[in-house]
Amino acid sequence: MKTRTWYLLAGVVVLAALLITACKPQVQTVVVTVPPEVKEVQVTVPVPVTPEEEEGLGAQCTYNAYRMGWVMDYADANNIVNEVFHPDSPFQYTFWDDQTFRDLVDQALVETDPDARVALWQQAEQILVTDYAAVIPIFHYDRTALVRPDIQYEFPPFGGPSFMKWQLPEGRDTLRVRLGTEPPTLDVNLATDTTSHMILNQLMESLYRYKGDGTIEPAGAESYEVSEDGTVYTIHLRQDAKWSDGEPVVAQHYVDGVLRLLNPETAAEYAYVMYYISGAQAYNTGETDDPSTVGIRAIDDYTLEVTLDKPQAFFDSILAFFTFYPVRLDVIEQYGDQWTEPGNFVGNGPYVLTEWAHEDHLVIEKNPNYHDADQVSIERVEFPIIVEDATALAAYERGELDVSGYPSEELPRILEEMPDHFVRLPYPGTYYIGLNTALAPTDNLNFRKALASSIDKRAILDAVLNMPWRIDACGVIPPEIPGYQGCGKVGYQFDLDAAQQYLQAAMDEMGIEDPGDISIQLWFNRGNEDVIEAVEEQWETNLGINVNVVNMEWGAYLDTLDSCND
Amino acid sequence: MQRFIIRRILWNIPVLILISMVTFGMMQIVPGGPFTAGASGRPIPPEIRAHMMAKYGLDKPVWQQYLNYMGRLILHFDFGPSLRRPGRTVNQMLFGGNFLVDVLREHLRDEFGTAASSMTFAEPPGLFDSRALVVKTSGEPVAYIYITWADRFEAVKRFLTLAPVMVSAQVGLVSIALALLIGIPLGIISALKQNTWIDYIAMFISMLGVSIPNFILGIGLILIFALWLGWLPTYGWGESWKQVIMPAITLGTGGMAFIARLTRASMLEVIRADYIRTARAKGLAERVVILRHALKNSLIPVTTVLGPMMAAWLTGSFLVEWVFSIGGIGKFFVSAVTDRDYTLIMGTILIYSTALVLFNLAVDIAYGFIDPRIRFD
Repeated sequence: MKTRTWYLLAGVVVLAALLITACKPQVQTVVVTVPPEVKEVQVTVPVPVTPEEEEGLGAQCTYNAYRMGWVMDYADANNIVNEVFHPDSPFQYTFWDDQTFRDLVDQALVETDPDARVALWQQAEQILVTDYAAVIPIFHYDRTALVRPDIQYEFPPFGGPSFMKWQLPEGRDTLRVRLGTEPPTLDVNLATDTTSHMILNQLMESLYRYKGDGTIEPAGAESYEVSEDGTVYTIHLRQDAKWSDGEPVVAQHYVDGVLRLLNPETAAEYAYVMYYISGAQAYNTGETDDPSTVGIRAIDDYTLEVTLDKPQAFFDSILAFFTFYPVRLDVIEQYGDQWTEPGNFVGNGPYVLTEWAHEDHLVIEKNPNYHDADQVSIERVEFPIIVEDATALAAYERGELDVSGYPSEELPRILEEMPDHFVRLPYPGTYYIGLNTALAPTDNLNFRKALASSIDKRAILDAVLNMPWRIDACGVIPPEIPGYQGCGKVGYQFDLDAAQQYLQAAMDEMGIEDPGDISIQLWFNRGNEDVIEAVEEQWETNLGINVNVVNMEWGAYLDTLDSCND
Repeated sequence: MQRFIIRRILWNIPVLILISMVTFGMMQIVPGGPFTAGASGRPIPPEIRAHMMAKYGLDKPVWQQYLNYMGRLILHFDFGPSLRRPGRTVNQMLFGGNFLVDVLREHLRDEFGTAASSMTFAEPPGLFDSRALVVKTSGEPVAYIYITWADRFEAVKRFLTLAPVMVSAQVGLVSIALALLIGIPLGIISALKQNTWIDYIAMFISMLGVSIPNFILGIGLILIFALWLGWLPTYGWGESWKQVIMPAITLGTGGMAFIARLTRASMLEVIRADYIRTARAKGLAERVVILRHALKNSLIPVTTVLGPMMAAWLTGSFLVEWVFSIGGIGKFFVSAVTDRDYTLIMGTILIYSTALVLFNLAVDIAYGFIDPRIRFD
């Protein structure tokens, strides 16, 4: 019977599906592009080390170099030198290690004198970038946007713009800002991306806030004191702060915010930022389920006390971070997951959420209960969600938007036709290539130096990315952050002669005669083809080595790198 | 006929279950998971990732996750929480949530003013409940609110106009209407005037329609009609009839061209058939010959492609929703996969496969009406 065959067939497919799900094999969607000339010489490539023999490296970890970037969370070099590049950090995949670096980081964390601290970070950066050449910084990030020239704007380097400080021209009270995507969430403890934070920065207020020049000013707090030993922060809150429903903002709300962030059930991504608070890590990782062991408490309604494990000199930057948003547990309990919807959301910031048509638009309006409401000049901000850059630019040119993005191909026309609309915004962060110090040939220091000296970063920015205003990077600390050293002082600049010398030294050490016998793998994620292909070409022409690039989609990329780092 | 339909529907249940199984398994195999990278694109530290996996039950064995998922779906029609949009459920993202609650909330606001904001419903009201218990946040009962037919109609109306699936369906429906209304006549005319300049122009247009990528067409239309001429709004849906035009053209053109070519080819075949010669020999007017005898038969291939086309278009077009910023579900077909939002992937795949199965069934039934030779047994 026909039906029976069908049943059989269906049964077989079900079994197959179950089998596939049960086994979960290590399948990789890796696209390896090997240039034709590489194929010819590949047989002669001496590969002395099979990856399996390397400690901590899985068979699939065949990368010598990988592309990555980091956008800073707060204005202290700790956020990149230590949190990203510390040998124990989960965010780097270079397998580098150095005891002096570890000691310098430990010292920097407790050094309270700003200048001395900056000097320590600079020394640590030198070891990482110059002495070990474990990472090759390519450029420092920035953002660009279109803003109507008759609007007074301010974009601080962190936390997104505060629209309360913006001014519209006479006769207008609504600002229209394009969002490129739906905000993933407005839950103050769960949001981690720039879009969500651009909205939350208007609806909420942390203890401190960033000004346009990158320094912090009091927001929900008035002042703070640090104990002699640098571990206890006593923060005095302003007494006139109110929630949008009229309730006063008290210290317990800040305590609730931090504890909710750290609660493992909240599963907040940024919980780790608060691990500096004593007991925070133990509570977050489930070693204890007693929130009172966490070093944060309300002394009275307007005094907050935060205790750290050990002094952390940069902790004032965290006071302005969104991990210090207060929360209203009663509101969250009342509405459950729906508390972030308009009408339910109760915030302490200058604006309230009045409309959120998902995937379509958001509207915020001035919060009359805000303590500085007199200072807020823009009554209403509309955020239409327009995914496509070309559509956003068309809407901007029609006058339907005040702040917008643009497709990069249109930049020359924009710079010619409306240069006064184009603004460059700070976005402290570094785009870099990390080198696998545990795998040949990038385990050779001279070879890493050769790689670092043979990239013409300026040419990539000017000719490939068409972003002449962007700053080429030699160190990892971005220019907006104290401790920035700049090319010439740290790392390696483009220098062909030096590169050749390093390469020769490396080949002598490795016992290789012809650079054509050296092959390396350069991994990157989709969307970086322009930069990475330029690097590939420069390495091949400047050093004469073979570079095989491996392109993966972001999720697969991180997953594979992470599995190598375990 | 009824037996045929019932049997086909029953047959589709194992098909859908199979699809759900394969999708569920494939999601797990693909490297990278929903919590590999955060919303900012940054890798998530392992201990934090473990909390997230535990929160959504992803730490359990895959077969158990599957059974839990299917259990909730079949018993409660619950597609589960979105993994990448904390606080949102896949039901809300696809179907727009409970519109009756919104309608009743408005009544509460009229009745109690600002006090209504601290009131909620003891249980979410269903469409056919006669009344809903209003409680304060503390749980103290306040009043019963009686649900009238006007409220139910209002809720259904809002669902039909605002729910993301319905927004996608509206875009798809308008585009299909456009494709059929222009494509079929274009095909007939060029078949009847074969190898004349009319035929050449019509086929040239349809060749253009097939070859121009949707994306280019959409951006081009925006440039011309929104930016240069200023006649139409740049983006959006549902606020004005003017917003319908560009998305419909963008999505409909490719299908229109395809249908025109298909109609032409099958019309050419049919008008050479013996029974058309017979009809003409009987002395029937040419109009009657074409409309009553030829057209119906030449539409069979069009009907065949219409099934999958409806399924694809009514469940949303990624490109059109992307270019015109339309809040349908088409965008999710791509974003869910790149985000590894497992529950949303399942939701979109199941909606699409259900649509495919239903429209193919509809096509099979339609055959019976168009071609009397086709019988169901």
